[in-house]
Amino acid sequence: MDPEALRGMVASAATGDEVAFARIVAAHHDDMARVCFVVCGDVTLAQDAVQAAWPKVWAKLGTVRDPAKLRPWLVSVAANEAKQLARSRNRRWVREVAIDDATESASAASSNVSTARADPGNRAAELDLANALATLNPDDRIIIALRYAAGLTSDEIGRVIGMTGGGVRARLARLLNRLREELHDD
Amino acid sequence: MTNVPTDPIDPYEPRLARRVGAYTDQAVQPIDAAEIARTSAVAARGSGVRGALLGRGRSPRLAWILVAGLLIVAVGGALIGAGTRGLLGPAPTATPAPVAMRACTPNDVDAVITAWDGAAGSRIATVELHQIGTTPCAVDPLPQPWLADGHGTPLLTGKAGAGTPITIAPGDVLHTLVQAGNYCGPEPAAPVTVAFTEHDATFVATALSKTDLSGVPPCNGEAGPKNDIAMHPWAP
Repeated sequence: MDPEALRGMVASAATGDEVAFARIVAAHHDDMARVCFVVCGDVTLAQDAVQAAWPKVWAKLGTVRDPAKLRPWLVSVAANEAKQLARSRNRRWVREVAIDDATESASAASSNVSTARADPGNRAAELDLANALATLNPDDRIIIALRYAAGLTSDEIGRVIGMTGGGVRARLARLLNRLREELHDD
Repeated sequence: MTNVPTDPIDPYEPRLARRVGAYTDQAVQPIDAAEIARTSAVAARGSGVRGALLGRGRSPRLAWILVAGLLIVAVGGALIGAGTRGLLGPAPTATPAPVAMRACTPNDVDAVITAWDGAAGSRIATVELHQIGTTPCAVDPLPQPWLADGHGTPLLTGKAGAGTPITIAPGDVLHTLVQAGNYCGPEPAAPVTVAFTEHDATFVATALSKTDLSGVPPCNGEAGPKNDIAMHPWAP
């Protein structure tokens, strides 16, 4: 979408145009759900977090002056909702996955379920990533989510979390080393 | 789907982005964007009403302090008086529900006890009700409160009150205080918690811990009031 069209859509949505708002929802909901999932590690909680984020977006959309900043802002609102929701529900971050999920994966594979998620190799890789994310603190998970689930630049991340781009890059470098080690991705 | 950052800082990033993309595919589900837009508009209007009640110029912290103060004063009045209803009358309720608003189900709300306090022969639970659903729903301001043991057995059973249902949007939180007194039965199974029944739904609050018995009120004598449990109306 060209910048002028985006600007017009945001302006319409900010004045209460539900159709324009629905277009924003359709364009960004999936990325927000991905970000929330990385932050909280639970599909249901991630969906709830995105649902909780949209009314706040509706109420504050008028504060977005630059449409180019809309996407970073949306995913950061969702990320914060996921963090707060997880904290309010006392979600435990340590995943307990190995035996049951491995059995489940093997069972799914043996029943000829030919989806990628039923593949034990893929499932094991997902569990490794989930466990590696679970070792990070929530703020670090937000940075990882904004960077690798939403694809934001380090400057965009810095703007929405209140850091400099250089500070984000330094923190990302540290987190990358840690995840590379946890995931044996050397 | 993979969202690779456009300002690479490490050769490992594309690989990690692919892993995150595959991992988060499970979080992407079909949505009705128009319904989300409509719901967001309704919920935001609800927040606007709450803001007006609390005062738009005040900070959120000050607003919550004011609400907490009102609750404390009301419950204090109830403890001093003969009954357990607040002497100041019902607290202001939140947004009145539209006529057709559906009643909340246990899937829509999550009740949590955040504290138990002791007071002259009574126990007072501070309870939060979180709207965890995906669309707005309504709860009664004064459902039937009861004290339950770890098996779900009622220890004390109160009475429901009247009032206009309160609409709560996803993410909203309501608060109440529940006072229980004079339990003279056998040692209950842990954890002791409070629950709220309205219509066909019962919302059981999460106890402070799996072994918590701090909500068991002392026995003030068999001749004392039976089923001595009451609550303040749900309020934002």
